[in-house]
Amino acid sequence: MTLVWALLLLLNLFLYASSRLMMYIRVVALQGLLLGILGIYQHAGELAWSVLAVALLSTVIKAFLLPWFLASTVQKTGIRREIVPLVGFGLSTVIGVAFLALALVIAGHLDAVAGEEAVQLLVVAFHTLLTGLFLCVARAQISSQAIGYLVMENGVFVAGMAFAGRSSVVAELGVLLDISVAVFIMVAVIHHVRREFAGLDAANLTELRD
Amino acid sequence: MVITLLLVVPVVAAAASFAVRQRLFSQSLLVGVALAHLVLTGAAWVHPAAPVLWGWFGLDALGLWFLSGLSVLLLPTSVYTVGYLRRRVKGPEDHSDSWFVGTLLLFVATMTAVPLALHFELLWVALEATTLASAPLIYFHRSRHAVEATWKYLMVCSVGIALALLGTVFLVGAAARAEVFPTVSGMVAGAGALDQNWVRLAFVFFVVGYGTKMGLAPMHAWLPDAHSEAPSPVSALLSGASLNCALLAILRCLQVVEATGDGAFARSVLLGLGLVSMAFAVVFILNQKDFKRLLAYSSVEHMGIIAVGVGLGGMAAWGALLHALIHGWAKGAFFMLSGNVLSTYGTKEVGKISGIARLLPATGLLWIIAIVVITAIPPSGLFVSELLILRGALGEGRPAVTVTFLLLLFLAFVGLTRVLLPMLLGAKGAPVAREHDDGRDRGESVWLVLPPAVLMAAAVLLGVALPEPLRGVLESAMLLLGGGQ
Repeated sequence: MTLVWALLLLLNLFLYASSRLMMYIRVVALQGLLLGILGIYQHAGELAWSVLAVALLSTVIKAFLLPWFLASTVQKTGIRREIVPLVGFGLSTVIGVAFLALALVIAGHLDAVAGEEAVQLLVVAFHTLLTGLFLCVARAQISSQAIGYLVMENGVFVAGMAFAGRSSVVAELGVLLDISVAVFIMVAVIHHVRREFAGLDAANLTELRD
Repeated sequence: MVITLLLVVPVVAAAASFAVRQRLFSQSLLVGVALAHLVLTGAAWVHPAAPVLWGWFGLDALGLWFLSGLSVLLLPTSVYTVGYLRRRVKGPEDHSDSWFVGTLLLFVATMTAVPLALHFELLWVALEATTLASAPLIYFHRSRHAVEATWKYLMVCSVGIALALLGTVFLVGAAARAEVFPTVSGMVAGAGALDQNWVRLAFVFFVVGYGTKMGLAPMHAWLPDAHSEAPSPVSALLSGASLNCALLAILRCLQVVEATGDGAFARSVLLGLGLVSMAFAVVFILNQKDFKRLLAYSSVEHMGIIAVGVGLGGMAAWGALLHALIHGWAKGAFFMLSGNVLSTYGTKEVGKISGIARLLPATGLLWIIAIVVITAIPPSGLFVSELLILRGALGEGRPAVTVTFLLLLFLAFVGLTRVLLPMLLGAKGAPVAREHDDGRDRGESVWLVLPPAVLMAAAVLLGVALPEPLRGVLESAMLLLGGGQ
């Protein structure tokens, strides 16, 4: 499993350096797949069908359905493919590494209360969360903000794994539903923004101010 | 039964509105649901409602308090919405009335689920759903500004609420480790076994996350945009009910924190953020040129007042709960009035509006009352609640807090009256011709005037006297808030 954690961290770092929207989407899809594997592996002992079914459904949605939906939107609408960084890619990568150190420090502080195995998961969780936040803030297009939101949610999902006896099936389905609907609505609003502002640059969205 | 009905009726009605697509049907459906909502909530006052789904949904005193606030706001809002839709001139690309009502009903359904949700994860699901259901309503008018406001609302609140989900994960995780049920009552009962560190961390994320949705500064940036760009009935619900939903979510976590004996820490966080929010709001209130934004910043101020009250605890927290209820009604009413003014004058710019009193006599009269109520001049109910918070602050021996609180209240009062009063008087400001004006009634019909009048009356009545049953529920809610069972 250490391999999966390492892969997840690498994927995060990749996001800081990547300059293509489609690459973002692929990375998020891969993240979803890895989380799915991690989740199913965690539940392997119990094998309650309902738990397994939700884990599978979650994987399908996060690794295939949402990324496919985002990718097809990008293709259909001809959204500009290359990312416009507000913070350069080189500096971004440095920040990404700094965030990793930060995640290590935060998780390290929780060592006593969380237990050793959980701490490793928490490092991944915090780093993924910070990466998502970074994408929301430091990339100019609002389409990258939507992806940043998904990355953040993935981070929260990893944090959930750090606690063995996790949430109930019903609650997990509810969370999954909310996240999916959120992405669909975000894409719908992105269409409107594109029509009204002739582009997706977040800097255009500053007409409302005091 | 009551709880199941409260959860199901609005959703079914929303589906019906989408399916039937008939104007009159949708409008009557909306009022019907609001009426049913009020009756069901009333039933819960008479007979305690039995919990459903293993106690994940239930109604304790705190939930009942906030549910009632929503329920009382809902009926006038739905009547107002009918008037709003009747007056509206539909553009070629605009959504139909049925779409608006259906989405509004979904929004109502999600806001009803929040006070009923006792399971922390379901609470999160319900609150995120309020954002998702209300976002499409904000760009109902399809203007550039509305789209911009919608995106900011959706993004900032979703990111904020994602942090609240992390808090929820910590809380539920702490419950799992202590082998207690991750519901409010379960965690309060088993508080002794909970790891205080996780609960404390969870509370911080709750405050940052749900505080964003509640409009606490400095996470409030989306609020003035969304609340001012939304159609007025939606603004009324956003400011009057959805902010309270987020507040309740924070209070739910506070219950657990109090039960673990860490309440002082949590309350000081709320107190600090409350004062910061009031200060932020005052700065923007004093220089405001858009009257709907002004009302939105006033909501930030009032959420700050509530946070201060809860943070002080004791009598001040009692005042804060009262304040949340009354502010919801008063601000809802004020946004309805602002809708009447906006549709008549066709602008939100304060400088271009004068003579409301002559052009719209009924709205004008209510406008004065609304200013009195929202700035907490007696007999406003908010005067009583703010007085309670002040007495609480003095009783706790917090002179610095008391003085700051008073000063900020005074500044907000000056800012609000300085902008809102002159709009009433002056020459009959020639209203700007509305787009596609077809000469229908321009601002005032019974539909549009009666609902805010009723709400304002309710806001005043609670200031005059607090009926015994309300006092009883408030007392039980206070016990819960203190970490009791």
